[in-house]
Amino acid sequence: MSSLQYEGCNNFRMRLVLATLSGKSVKINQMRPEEDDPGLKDFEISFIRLLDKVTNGTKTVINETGTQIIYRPGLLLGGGIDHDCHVARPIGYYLEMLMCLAPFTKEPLRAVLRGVTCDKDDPSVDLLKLSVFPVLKRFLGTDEGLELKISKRGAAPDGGGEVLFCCPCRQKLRPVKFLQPGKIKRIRGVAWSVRVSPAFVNRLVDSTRSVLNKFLTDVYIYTDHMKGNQSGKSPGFGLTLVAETTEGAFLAAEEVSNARKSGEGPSIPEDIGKKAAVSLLQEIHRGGCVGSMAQSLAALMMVLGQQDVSKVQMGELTPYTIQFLRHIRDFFQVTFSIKKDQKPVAPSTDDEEEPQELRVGADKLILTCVGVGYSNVSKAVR
Amino acid sequence: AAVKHTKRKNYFSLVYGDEANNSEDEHTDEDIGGLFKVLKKKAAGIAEEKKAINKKDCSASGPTVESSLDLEELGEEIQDAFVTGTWDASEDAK
Repeated sequence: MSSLQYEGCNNFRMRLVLATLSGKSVKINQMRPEEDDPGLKDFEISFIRLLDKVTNGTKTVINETGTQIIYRPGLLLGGGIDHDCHVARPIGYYLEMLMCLAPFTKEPLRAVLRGVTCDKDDPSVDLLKLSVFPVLKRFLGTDEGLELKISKRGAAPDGGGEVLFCCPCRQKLRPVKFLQPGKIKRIRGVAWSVRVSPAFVNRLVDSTRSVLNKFLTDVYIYTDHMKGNQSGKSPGFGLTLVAETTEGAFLAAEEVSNARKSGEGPSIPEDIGKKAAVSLLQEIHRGGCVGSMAQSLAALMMVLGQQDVSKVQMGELTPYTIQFLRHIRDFFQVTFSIKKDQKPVAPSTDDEEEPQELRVGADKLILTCVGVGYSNVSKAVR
Repeated sequence: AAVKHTKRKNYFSLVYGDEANNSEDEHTDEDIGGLFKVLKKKAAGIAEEKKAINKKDCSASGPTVESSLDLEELGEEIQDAFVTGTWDASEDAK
């Protein structure tokens, strides 16, 4: 049986997910061996449990100190699952990977996840819905049955949020050619708050509009102030923004308040609003047809498509995506061709000889690969 | 051709690393008096790599190059990414 070996706890999720998809077992050594509290952390155990629920026959062996794990994947089942995510990491940490697996399950996935809906570092559920869903939709070919419902919001550190994620499964994914991002035509967003004054959302919206309205007038931000048992256990607020282009590319960014007891002091809504706007502009500067959070998912779906060429334009690759591409090579023996895209040029006028390059931010890359012809054998044909 | 190479980042070797740019590495080793090689840089790189394997696993992109720009410069650099900016020669409706 083929087995891959790795060291360290970084890239933990992608290793297990790619192992599950490729059916190869994986062994990871040296999980935090030098820390005071060595080995796997609770949220990683929680992630393994989640994988266990989605699959059938998965075997995981962890040594006594927790510094070594051997993971032997089973078959992807899907169906209805229910999982309490450990609150050390937000639901986005788990959901991001679930999105990679969902199209390849036997039964359509219907997952209820509980925990922190939004925190620093990891994408929030709003961001995944606004920026990763459109990419998933392209590869699935339809958004029928694709759903992410936030029934309760829960801020860090105590959580108490709940989301429902539904995704249809496919026998084969469609190859995708997506090379023209188009122009940004509108900006949408969600400003949310729980267990704080409802005025906070309006302050968030006002401050972010003050920055974004200089670029575009079509800015609309929904406000979502949740109350009572829908508001989780901790106070918090945040803002997720998404820029939509004429060709259906979505670039998103977000900002969230400091968690209570995080030692960073309380956040001010005006600052959060401004920061979110600036990070959206930075994301636009990075650009591409898929947002930075969706890069890795797009790459994975390109590889796991039919034996056909897929081409997607992306902005500068994030360190995470670079790691992901390396792991894809390990598990599927597929390398991407990565080329710099030509800058678009302005229409030339008669008196100019040199065509003027458009100011669309950083260099854009074109990722090309041939799918491995992956087909979902476990899906029942009806 | 060499000038061109330094200007352009080789994205393929950025991702797939060592085997793509083995030949370049040999040049970066500095000889002192023809006998000794400076290995300091390499050793530092290895230590860094050792640390990186146990970093936090998250997909957030972290600080980017463009974060050094202030808002106005940033705005200027991306103004043609919006519908209100200039369109490409190929798509301009005129």
